[in-house]
Amino acid sequence: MKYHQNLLLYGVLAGLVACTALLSGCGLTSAAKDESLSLSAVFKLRSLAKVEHVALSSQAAAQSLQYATLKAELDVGEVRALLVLAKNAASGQQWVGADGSGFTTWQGRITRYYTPALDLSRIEISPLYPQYGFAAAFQYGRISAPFELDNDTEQRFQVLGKATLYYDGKQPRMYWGKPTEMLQFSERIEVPSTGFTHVNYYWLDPQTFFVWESQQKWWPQMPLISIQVLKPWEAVRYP
Amino acid sequence: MRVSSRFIGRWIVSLLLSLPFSVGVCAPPQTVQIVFKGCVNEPSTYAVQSPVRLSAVLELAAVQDCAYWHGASWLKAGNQPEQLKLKTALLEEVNLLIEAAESETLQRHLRILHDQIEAMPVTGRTVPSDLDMFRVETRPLKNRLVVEDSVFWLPKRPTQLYFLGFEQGAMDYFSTQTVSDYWEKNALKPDYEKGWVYVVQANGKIEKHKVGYWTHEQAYVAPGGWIVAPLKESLFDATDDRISRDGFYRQLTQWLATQVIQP
Repeated sequence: MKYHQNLLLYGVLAGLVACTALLSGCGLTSAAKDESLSLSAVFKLRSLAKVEHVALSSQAAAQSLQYATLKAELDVGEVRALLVLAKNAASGQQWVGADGSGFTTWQGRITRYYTPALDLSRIEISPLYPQYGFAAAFQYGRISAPFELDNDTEQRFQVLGKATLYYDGKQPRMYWGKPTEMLQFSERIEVPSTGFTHVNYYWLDPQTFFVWESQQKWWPQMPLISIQVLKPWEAVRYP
Repeated sequence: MRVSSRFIGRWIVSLLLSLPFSVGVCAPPQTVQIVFKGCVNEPSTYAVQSPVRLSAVLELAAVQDCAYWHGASWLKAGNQPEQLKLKTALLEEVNLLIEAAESETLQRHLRILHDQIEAMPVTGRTVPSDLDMFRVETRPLKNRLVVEDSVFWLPKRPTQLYFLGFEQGAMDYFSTQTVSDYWEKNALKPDYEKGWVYVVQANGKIEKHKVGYWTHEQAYVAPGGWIVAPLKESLFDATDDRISRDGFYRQLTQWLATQVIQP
């Protein structure tokens, strides 16, 4: 009887071993193998967090990073992380942190914010505003546009807001230990249905109008995020 | 270390026992049909080698900006038998409630509910549905395997919410309105209980919320979602405990969650 029990146990164990081996090999199609490759690539990307001190030590070190990278700091719990570019599309750049949380940006502005606690799946301003807003505000002093926001977490969709962008003038900012003159813009956010108002900030290179740094918050429960581009996703001159 | 021949023998026998499993796993990859409908450049069909991850499938679609991901559906024939059973059981229970109802008004309401459920198709929708690319790509548990023919329905964002147990069957969606606000604006039919409702969100998520002046709960329902008022407990008592209210509404809300947003 005992022999049969042992045999059954060995059978189950061996079956598991065999199934595991087979699942990891012949059971995968080419598509599934591609996926596992991309997952391992993402794992490598995530290990970048360990080299944060290198990326922040000098501009050359940041430039030498393998992937487009942002530094993001949250005002809640003093969270600081490096986020790598997961996807670059015409509609924007998707940035993902080590825990899968992240956001997408377009023209330096957050268009999607995702954590398990809060998912703002769409922050959409008239397309002309992100594209030409900084130039227009720089020339005319300020520009306004309505925006719509979807909050998947609270199941609220098409929440209306208004953004007004102001040019504040030139401001020195410190990048890699070096004072750098940037164009500062402030953006007043109003979401009347939640009573939320906030002022976002953006710092642009005067030559390229590229957004190198920003502080953004689009919803009462969203933490204030400070973003600095360490390695851009497109060919652009460092400030 | 000496390994006995009996030990080796057991392992050989064990491996032989596991062979039938191996044959199944090592079967040649199958091709599955993937169809995209709705807010895509044009309805498109792809033949994809299975198993394949959901993220890889969704990347095939040329999705338009109008797509309402929150109400998107993944339809599989494999889900249909269970959903057909659910529909049949639900219709039987409504029939029992019609028998138990004393007033003609309530009987009429229940017959309308019966007809509504009967007219709803067995869709095969996977619920709760989460096809949002950001979440699918960054949350491994959401990036499920696609192993059978599937239809992905990407609807436009609806402009209305739907109601059961209320005078109006549909109302326009406003992002500023809470579940309580809708409950106050849409009169409850007689025989339905005040104070709380079920909500079936457009993604198939089922919730229960307090409503009315006595609650500060600020819950919202997404466009295309349902607000369902419960019938009074006395009707279920009249069925001689053949139907429990909780069980009935569990089935009804699960059924509504399987419905897709209409074009």
